[in-house]
Parts: sequence; structure tokens; C-alpha cells
Amino acid sequence: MVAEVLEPPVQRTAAAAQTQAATYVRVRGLVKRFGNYTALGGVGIEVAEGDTLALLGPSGCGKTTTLRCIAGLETPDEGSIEIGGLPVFDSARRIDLMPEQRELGIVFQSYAVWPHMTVAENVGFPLKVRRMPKAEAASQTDEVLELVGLLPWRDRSAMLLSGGQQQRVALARALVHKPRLVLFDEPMSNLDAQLREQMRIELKLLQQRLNFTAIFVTHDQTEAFALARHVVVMNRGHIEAEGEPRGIFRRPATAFVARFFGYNVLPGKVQTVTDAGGGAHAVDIAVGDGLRLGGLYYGTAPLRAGAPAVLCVRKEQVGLTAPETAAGPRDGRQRVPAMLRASSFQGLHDEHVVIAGGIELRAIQPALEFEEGPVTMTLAREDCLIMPDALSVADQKDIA
Amino acid sequence: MPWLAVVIGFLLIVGPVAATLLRSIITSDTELTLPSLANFAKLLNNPGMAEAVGNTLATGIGVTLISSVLGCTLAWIVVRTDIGGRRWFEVLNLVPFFLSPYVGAMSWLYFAAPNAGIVQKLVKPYAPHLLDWLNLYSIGGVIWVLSLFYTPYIYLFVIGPMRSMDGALEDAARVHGARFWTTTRAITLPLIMPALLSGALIVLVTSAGLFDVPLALASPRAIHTIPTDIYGAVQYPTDFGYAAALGTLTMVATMLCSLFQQRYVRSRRFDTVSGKGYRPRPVRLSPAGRIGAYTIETLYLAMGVVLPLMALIMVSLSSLWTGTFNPSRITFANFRYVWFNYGLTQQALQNSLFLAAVGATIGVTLGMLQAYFVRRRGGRIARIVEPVLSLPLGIPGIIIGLGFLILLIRTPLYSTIWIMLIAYVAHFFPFAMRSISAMLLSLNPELEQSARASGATWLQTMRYVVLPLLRPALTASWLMLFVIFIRELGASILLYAQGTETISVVLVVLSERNFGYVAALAVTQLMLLLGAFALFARKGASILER
Repeated sequence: MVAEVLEPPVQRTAAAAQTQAATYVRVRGLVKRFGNYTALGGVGIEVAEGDTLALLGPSGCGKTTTLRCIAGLETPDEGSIEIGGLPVFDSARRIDLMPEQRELGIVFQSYAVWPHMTVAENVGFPLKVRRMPKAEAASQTDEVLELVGLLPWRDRSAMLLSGGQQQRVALARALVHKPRLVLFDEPMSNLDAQLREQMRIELKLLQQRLNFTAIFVTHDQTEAFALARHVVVMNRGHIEAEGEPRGIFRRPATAFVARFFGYNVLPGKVQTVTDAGGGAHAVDIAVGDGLRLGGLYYGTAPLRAGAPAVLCVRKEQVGLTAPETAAGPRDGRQRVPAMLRASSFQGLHDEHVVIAGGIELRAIQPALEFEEGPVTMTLAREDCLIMPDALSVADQKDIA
Repeated sequence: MPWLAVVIGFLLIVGPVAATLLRSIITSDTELTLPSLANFAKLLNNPGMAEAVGNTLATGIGVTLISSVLGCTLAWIVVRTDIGGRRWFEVLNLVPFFLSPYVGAMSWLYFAAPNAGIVQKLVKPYAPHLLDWLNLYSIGGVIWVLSLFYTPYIYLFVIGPMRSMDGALEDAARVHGARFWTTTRAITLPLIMPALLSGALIVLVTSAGLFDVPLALASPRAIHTIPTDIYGAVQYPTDFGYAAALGTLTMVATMLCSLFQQRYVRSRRFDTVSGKGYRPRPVRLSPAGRIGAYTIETLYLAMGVVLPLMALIMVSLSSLWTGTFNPSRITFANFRYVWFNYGLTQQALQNSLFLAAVGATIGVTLGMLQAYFVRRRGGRIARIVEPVLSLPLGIPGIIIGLGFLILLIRTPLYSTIWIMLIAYVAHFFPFAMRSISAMLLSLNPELEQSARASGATWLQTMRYVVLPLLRPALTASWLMLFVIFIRELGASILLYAQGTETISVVLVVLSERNFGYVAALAVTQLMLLLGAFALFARKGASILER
């Protein structure tokens, strides 16, 4: 998809023009209740101008509610929302701007393409309701249609488009009035896998070219990592972790985040703690039936022997070799006798279910040359992350 | 604005209901008296009362049973068999729904009245006593005509679920060893039962309360029914207290039925009948079955439409109706008289068209805003709003008329066309609300939300997105209200005054003079109704299937 570059959008506030990384969206203490159910328990988010943020989490974690509150489609009970320096919601000051007053674009999961309009009518709608002169609106619409590769379909009825094309219509409609903030609610989840990857790349390029601030909502970590420079992981209406994709994936903040990212999470008890240098502690913990494993602890809170803790290790970092009678090679990996229960072929690799010390783990490895039965599981100490307990941020807030 | 429409809806219900309730405990028109139950006592002591209640119940139950069997059979033939001409039958079966029950009753009298009907005259020379059992001036006659008229109601209620039920449910039964009839009894019928029962309850209440047919078939033989008794109590010498007491009891009974029906529908709503899965396979009829299916279809259309309309047209074209039609003496004298020489007709045509067009527009506007409130704004309140606003549909027109008569008799509105307009809208706005609400339910709210997020105000969103998407439902309910208002009789007969007669009222007035005039005017009204039906069939009847 090749297209001309749109004119650089007009800056909305003088402050934003001065510092490139000024905060563009500021959400503070957002609380939303549905009856007795608290969907958001005081969420705070900041997104810098031109940055991309993904709200990631399992269904029901409050990520979509947060997005809808920012868009003005849901009215929060408490908190404040600022977009480009303009307060659009503030429960204390009784400010609540209508969605149409917030000057943003949105792409829904369902695309919400209007079936009674053509492609061009759909895309030109934001300009029409802003009473832009017709000729100008038409050329601006065509410009955006070109950008998303839909110009040949401009007069086609929106109902006759494929899912991928509808998605592009929704995208073009969200961009045509050059909003400085564009919201995406599970934008790719209705596309098939191949199309999804293509759209991710196109979307990323578009964002870089037009330099709008974007907030994505997704339950798919791959999508969040691919699209966004910052990721916020949510759980039961609270923020569990936030940071850049690599950081929060490699060093999950809580056991919940680790589990959500597909880590093996093994509960146990702390045995010994020694300083490992570089702000880390080497910790040995007892897990399962008499299994003793070592890992690294990066936290600051003191960890005492006998305290509960969890060991988290990624599936790809669980090694499997043929069962050994002797000590094995001196590669420094911890070696544990285990049983291979099942393997399933997944294309580039196999996923294996192994039982060690009575605990079930998953391992992702290239296809093995041996069958179900006894194996040796190997773990590098630096791959094993120790966390104080299995509680998530949401749990702690709930207890408090 | 949506909440304002809801408030207006509530007022339109509360006004006449409260007026009737209050009036029923007042015993004197002229002086202030303490509230008392004297009117109710009078009601219970009236020896004709038991007969009226019995007849009304018999009417409701008889009509419900016959139209349920007929409606389900017709729906099944149309959507589940492979007979030719299904598409035509599917639409034609709806025609009686658009005809006027009063005209239907009159037409049946022309066709088969004791001694004077066309059939009687035809048969008499050969078998003088063959048709002695056939007496249309009876509760049996009332039930028969009403059943033909109400069959499309049941048909509309069951045709949707019958069409969209998951074919796998039936196929599973067949594969696991059930025969066709066992499958029908054990799988198909239970699956459409919720739709059938909720339709049957509506038919029970509305057919029992309909004034038109008993007026034509029961009143001439002094057979009591509740609707005709209410009409009688409002005629000179009027006894509003008595009428109000009768109205109160009927209202309580019908409201309980409607509330029960709605609770029932709510609890069964999404049973196992879903739009997913695959369509049921059409049944391949045997030659005998095919003949049977055609016979049922032909008989229904003949009885419900062709024969009575033929009789009606014959009468309208004969100068002196004697029960036999002589093609050589066709005359348009009746039409000439009714259209040009009879002063009331043109006035009545104007009134009817005004009431129907303006009433339908107001009704659809109110219903659209209420539906929007229920589906998009109401939240938990909506769960109460919708059933309450639906109540008028179950109340007989004559009771609504009585309520507004009592409520507005001392205001300047009384004896104007506006009181009729208010009563029409009050009775049938829920019809528009319900069909629009059903369509709104199937529209993803994100379609509107993305308009708002694109910068459109609420009004712009309504104008550019919601209304265009709702157009099929808006058109269909406008046409339906138009049809209903053109033929309305129950409320009109109580509320009309000199200068505000409608076509239906003039039909009743003329029926005391000359059969030919009635027939000519009825044909005129019929052309209006069938015109609306033709538009409706073109715009797609699908909207009513929800």
C-alpha cells in the first residue's frame, strides 16, 4: 500500500507543540461501577503526544471500559480525563464532554461501518457533521481512502465489503478529520491470522506517518507488543504492570502478569537468599514434592527464609533432554527428573506437558526425538524469576 | 426527547385508566356522592351479565383455539414444505389481517346469512333444510368470522421461529430414530410453543374485547357480550357508572393477561430457537399431502378473503339485494349515492384519512422515541417501561374510547376530532414502539457510538445513522397504524360527534338503511386498506415476524 503523506496535522495546544513528549492523554483515578460491580477501581494512565499505548488484559479486566470512558461513551463515577490539555471529564468539577466534543477517532471491534452508506459516505461522515464544504471534504476523503488503499471502492456500498476492507473503512473514518487521538477497541480480533499481521504493520506505518496518539485495547499480547511502544496490563479493574513491551514481558511485575504472558508459575517456600550483585538476589525455593530450585529475585522488599514465593519461568526456557543417570553436562543448568506426559505439534515447535515434583509445567521446544516417559528437565537459574507471592495488584487492592 | 415520549406514553395510559376507575365508584353524574361500589353491585345483580361474560369468554377461547390451529398449519405449509407457490401464499395469508373485521362480518352476512345469504339461496331449491344449522347471528358466527381475521396474528407469531429454528434440532431427532410425526410433536411444537402461547394470549384478549363483530352478528339477535353491553350502557339513557364498572373489570382482566403474556415471553425469549445453525430442511410432501396442503390454503383464502369479498362486491353492484346476483343488472347507483349524494361520506373519508395519516405519524414518532429510550437509555428502568407501555395493546378499543370519553367529556376536546386522534394514538402507539424496539435490538450500538465519536451530535446521529437504519421498521409500523386507524370502530363509535364521523362509523350508521350503500362504502374502505397492504407487501412484511 503506497500513498501520499497527509499534511502534518495542526497542533491542538501550544504546550503540546513545545515539547514533543508532552503528556497528551492523562487519566487519573478513574472509577466506574456497574451496579455493585466495580469495573474500574481507580485507574491512572498517561500517554505522551504521538505515543502508542496498548491496554492489555483478559476479558473483563476493564480495558474496554477505560477506552469507552476516554471516548465519552461511558460516564465514569470518579476521576478525571484530560485530552491535549483539555479536561474532557472531571467528576469533581462536574465536567463531562459529549463524545462528539472530544475530537477523536475510534475503530470498534465490530468496525461499526454504516451499512446504508457507501464507502466514501462512511469515511466522509466526520467531515460532513463538521460542515466542511463539500469539495474540500471530498478531496480529503479521497486522500484518506488512498492512504488505506480503498480508493477504487469509494462508491461501493459498505455492505459489499470483506471484513478486512470494512476494517480499513473504519480506520479511514477514524483518521479523516485528522484527530490527534485515535482509539482502537480490539481492532484486529475479527480478522484472520494472515490479514491481522499485515494490518498490524500497515497500522504501525500509518501511525508513524501521521503521528497521532493511539490507544489500543487488546487481549492479545502479540498484538499489543507489535503495535504499541507502551503497554499497560490490566486485571479486574486495576493496573498490574506498565512499561515497554520487552521490559514487562521479560521481567513481569507480578505473578498474575507472568501467568498472563504464559509463564509457568510454581508456588513454593523460600529456602535461602543470597546477594547476587546488580540489585538481584539468588533465591532457592522449595516447590512441589521436595523439589528445590534456584532463581533470581529483583524485588526490593526483603525476602525471608520460610516465606511463600513463586518461581516463574517461560515455556521456551524449560529444557528437556533424555533421562540421565549421572549428573549430566556441566552447563550450569539445574536438572530435574521429570515425566513427559504429552506433546502437541504446533508448526515451528512442539508444546510439551511435563510433570516434575508433582507439578505440571509446559515447555516449548523443537520436536523431541523421544516418546512420553521419563525425561530430564533443565532450567537456567537466570531464567527463573522469584516473586514474593502469588498475589496480583488487584488482589492486594481488594484485600486493602 | 426520548424520555418525554415515555412520559407522554404513561400519561396516555394513566389518563383513561384512572378516569374509568374513578368513574366506576361514583354513582351520580350531577351531585357529589361518597365513593361506593354500587355500580359493581348493579353489575353483579344484572341477570344478563353472566350471559355476557360467558359469551365473551367463549368468543375469546373459541377464536384462540381455531386461529392457533389454522395459523400454525398455514405457517408450517408456507415455511416448512416444498409446495409450489409458497412465496405467494406467504403474503396472501396475511390479507385478512388488513381487512376490517366489521366489513368481514357484514360480508359474511351477505354470503351466508340465515334465509338471505347467497349460499342459502343457492342451496334452498335443491335441499331446503341442508343449511339450517348455519346461523351467523350467534356466538358461533362471531367466533367463525373472528377466527378467520385472527389467524394471521398467530401465523405472524409462529412463522419466524418456525423458519429460523435450528434444523439440526429436528435432524438430530430423526437420526436418532424418531418418525416425522414424533419429531413434530416432540421437537418442533415445543420449540415454537413460546411464540405460539404468547400469540395465543394476545388473540384471546383482543378477540374477546373486539366490538366490531359482535355488533354485526350478536346485537341483532340481542345476544349479550361485554363490548356490546358497554356500548349499550353509553347509549341513551346513558349510565356511565355502569359502563365504567364494566370497563374496570374488563381492564383488570385484560391487563393481567397482558402482563402474564409479557412475563412469559420474557422468561422464554431466547429458548433454543436461534438464528444460528442451519435452516430446517423443507418437508417433501407426498401427493396426498400436497393436495391436503393446497386444500387448506385454498379454503382459508376462500373463506377469509375471496368469498366474503365476492359477496360484498356483488351487493355493492346490485340495486336491490335479494340474496341472488344478476350480472345483467349491475349498477353503480350505490357508489354514486354513497360517494356523491350522501353528505356524510366525503366528510368521513376526510376524517378517516386525517386520523390515519396524522395518527400513524404521531404514533410512529412516539414509538420510535420510546423504543430508543428502552433500548439505549433506559438501563434497568427499561425493563419496566416496555411492558407497561405495551399495556394498551391488550385493552379493547371500546374501553379506551370509554376512558377518554369519561376523562375529556367536560373539556373542549370532547366532540372534536382531536379526542379521537388522542384515543387512536393512545391505543396503538405501543405497536410502533414494539416493532421499532425489536429492530433497534438488532442494531449494534457501536454504529451510533462511532457517529458520536466522529463528531456528530445526538440529533445528527439520529438523522444520518439511526433513522435510515430503522427505516424498514418505521415504514412498516406506519402502514400498519394507518390500516388499523382506517378501520378503527370500538373507540370511534363512542367518541364521534356530528362532523367527526369516520368511514367505519358511517358504515354502522348506513347498516340501518340499505345493504347496497354499506357494501359500496365498505368496498371504498377496502380499497384504501388493500392499497396500504400492497405498499406493505412491497416494503417487506418481514418486520412483523420479529
